[in-house]
Amino acid sequence: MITLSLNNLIRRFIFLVALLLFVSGGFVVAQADPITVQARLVLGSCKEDKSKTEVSDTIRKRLAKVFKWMKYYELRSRRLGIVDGATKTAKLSKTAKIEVSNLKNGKVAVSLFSEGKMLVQKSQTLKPGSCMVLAGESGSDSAWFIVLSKVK
Amino acid sequence: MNENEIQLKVQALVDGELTGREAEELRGRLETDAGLKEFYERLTAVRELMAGAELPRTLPESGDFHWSQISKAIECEERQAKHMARPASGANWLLRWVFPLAGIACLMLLLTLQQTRNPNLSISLGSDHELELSIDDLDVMTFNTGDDVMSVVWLDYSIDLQQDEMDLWLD
Amino acid sequence: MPEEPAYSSTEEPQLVEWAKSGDMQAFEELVARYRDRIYVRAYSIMRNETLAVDLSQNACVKAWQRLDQFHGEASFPTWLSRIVTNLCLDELRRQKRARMDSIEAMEETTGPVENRMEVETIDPVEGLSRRELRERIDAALDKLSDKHRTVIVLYEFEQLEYREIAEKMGTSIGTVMSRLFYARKRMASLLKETLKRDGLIE
Repeated sequence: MITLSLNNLIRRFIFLVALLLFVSGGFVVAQADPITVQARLVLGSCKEDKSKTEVSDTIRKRLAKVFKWMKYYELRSRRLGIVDGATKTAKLSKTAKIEVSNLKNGKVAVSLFSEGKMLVQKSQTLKPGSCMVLAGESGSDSAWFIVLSKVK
Repeated sequence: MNENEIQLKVQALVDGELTGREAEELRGRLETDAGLKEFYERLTAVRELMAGAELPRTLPESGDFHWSQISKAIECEERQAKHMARPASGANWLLRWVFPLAGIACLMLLLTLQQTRNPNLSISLGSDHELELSIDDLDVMTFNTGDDVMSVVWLDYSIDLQQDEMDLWLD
Repeated sequence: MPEEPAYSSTEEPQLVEWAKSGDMQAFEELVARYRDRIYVRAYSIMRNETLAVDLSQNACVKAWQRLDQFHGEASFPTWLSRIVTNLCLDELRRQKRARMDSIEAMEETTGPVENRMEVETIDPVEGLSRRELRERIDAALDKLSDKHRTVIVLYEFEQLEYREIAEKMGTSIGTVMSRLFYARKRMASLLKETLKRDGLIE
């Protein structure tokens, strides 16, 4: 009888430990909720190009409010799910890529590389509904934009 | 010396900013390089076109009104200057000298601490935003839209997307 | 009772002397003579009527305050012009963060993409009066970025040297040269476009 109790005890102990591990593991997983970032490569141009897709109305309005180009075309879009502390890479064009790091609590660091060399790194909290834009000239009369936003 | 450097030297010659041996050497080169000579002539023509080409304009307000604004501003400045020139009492002296000096000392301390803490190329944009440039001479302009829905980093860096699209390949 | 001098017919150096000794009316006469000129300079740089008027007025106020610093090294209108130019540059610097410079601001740096910088040929155009040409040049200036327009105005109109422009703009002589070169190239291209568009050249 005593042995059975000991076995029971051991089993219960093991069960409790397993439960504890499961719960704590789950807690860890809950804390490490990935952030999903949408990265869009956009071309700003004064010329109409029917072969290209225009950006959404929301993005177009935001860019047009600040920048002078007439048309904004989405050339590429990447969705990145990144857990806390992790970094993901997205190649947006032949020469340009970004690395996005999840710095926890909604804060991200975005590094822009062109032809293999890092140009800039920007860190900020991506609030819902807001976006981060990296931009510059592209050839003559047009501009490149990398628009990053948090996906709900 | 690359082509652009030569062109800038030619411009300096046209503008009379290139002198001495450099100018002589370049003039010699113009004699033998027909393309460069043509470039020199074009630049000279543009310069001659621009000389004295400022469009005359008339001040869009009456002379009397213009002067009345100026004289009011002058009177205002002179009143301010008189007010500042009054001898200061002991308490005033304290306000005028010690506090500003203390403020400057604090600012210097803050700047020194800031410099030792932050790397040279990092730009602090506020409590949440940070920006770091990897290239020394990369010009950048940053701002947030008034409603804070968009933060922008504009880089003095050209990426030819049209060319990229033509040579398209993906990971 | 001594007669009041006829300011309008008095020579400039005399007016300046009287103004330096506190004669406000002499200064008023000087302002009246050169107000259009400094307004034009302010407008050439700022391209905004209201700002140009404000800065012209500020320049006159500063000139009054600094009259004792004027020793005749340059003419009085040139000295006034320098004051308004400096005020314009200060204003541009203040506005810099709020402005987006145009394409030209970035294109000036050469690299693998733009190694050859062609300058358009501008042939003399018959039948185009000096006024019409100035208007076209003015319209082309409007299309330049602040940086490029400023360097052209300072060099061509204010007639400063590279070194002086570099000091005023807080940059290097090399940058001034690049900007000036780019600005000229752009001006030639814009002028050629407008002349072609109006059928004045082929």
